Amino acid sequence: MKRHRACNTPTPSELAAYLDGENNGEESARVEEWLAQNPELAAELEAHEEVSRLYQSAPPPEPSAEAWDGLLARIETELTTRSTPLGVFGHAVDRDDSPRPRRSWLAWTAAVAAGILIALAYVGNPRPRDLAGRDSLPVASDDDVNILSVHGQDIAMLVVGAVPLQEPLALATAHDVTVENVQPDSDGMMPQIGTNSADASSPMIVAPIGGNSEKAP
Amino acid sequence: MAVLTAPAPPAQSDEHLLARFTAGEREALEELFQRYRVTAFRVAFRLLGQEADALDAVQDGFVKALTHLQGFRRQSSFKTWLLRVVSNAALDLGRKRGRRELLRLQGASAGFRPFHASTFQDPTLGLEREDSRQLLDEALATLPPAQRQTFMLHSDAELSYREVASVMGISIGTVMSRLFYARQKLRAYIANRDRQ
Repeated sequence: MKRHRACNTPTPSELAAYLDGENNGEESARVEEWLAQNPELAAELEAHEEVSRLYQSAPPPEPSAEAWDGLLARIETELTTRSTPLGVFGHAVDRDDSPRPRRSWLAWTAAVAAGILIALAYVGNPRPRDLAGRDSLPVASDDDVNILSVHGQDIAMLVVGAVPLQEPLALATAHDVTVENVQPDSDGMMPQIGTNSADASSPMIVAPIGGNSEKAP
Repeated sequence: MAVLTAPAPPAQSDEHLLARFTAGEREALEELFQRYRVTAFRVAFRLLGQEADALDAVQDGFVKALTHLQGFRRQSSFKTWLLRVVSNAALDLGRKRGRRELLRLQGASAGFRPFHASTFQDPTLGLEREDSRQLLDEALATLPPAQRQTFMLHSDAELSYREVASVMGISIGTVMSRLFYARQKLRAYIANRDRQ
């Protein structure tokens, strides 16, 4: 599909919403007007609709009745052995409201054992949030990612493409800055101010890559 | 003589069934299962490509959803909550078991009959349902996982944009654009098969 720069060109989101009837009246009218002026793209959109119809006409084959019954039985079995209302209370309320024989000692033993295992796993592994100081693992480069859309509120947070800055960026030199007062930051750290007057062009205020290099304990 | 039958009792709400389940009633579990098993299975099947794996994912999904009801904050419907858990269970299962669907699709492609563009005019002409399903499964497998899941939640589970956004934790705008590009890719794949 060609990318039109006209202000009335519907976005892919609007076109999808138009297909699904999710646009309001004004938006639908605007899309219809645009489609009337772009018949080749209107045909493409109609083909999208055909794909959806074809998809709806061919749902996956349903499992047999035996498969469904077996699945429900497995779900019940698993819920009975776990800490759920079906398991903890040790019985289910039948249609005649008569409780089945209790097997609570088995359920409580299993629950206690599970609790001990969970506690051991928690102690043995750091919390997911204790990541300070850990090396980050690059999982994708900018070439691996295809950005389809960005929500309006997220646009300002999104960095697209390769990191343009490969070394610390000098924001101001000694020549540019007059130091009047220095206060510690919220962590009690005093910033290091370069005062070497012999080199007036040396950077005084530097933005390091990746944020603060000194983190609070 | 006219035979009168008692009207069927109104279906209980999901909240009522969950309350009964929490009280230990097995019948509530059966009703919830009956109510959502088909939708949950379709979602899982579209993600995994075969019945056995899909049934396992549905089992995992129901068990996880019902053992973690404290995580269900009632901000969305139980259906949305359940499908989120089922789709995540299916994705986890898919990662654990590898891309088995690719092997299946490679075998399916060898015996696939040509697809004709006339199908676009009437999906019921020419192509039998099984071939349609096979073609669509192949096309779906070519979508990026996020697009596939978005498209399938909207088309199979018949969730609204808002519900899909809730299940996937994304914005409605992202849902809409993913749907557009998913349909575009599916359309291109099907058209390409027609040319072969």
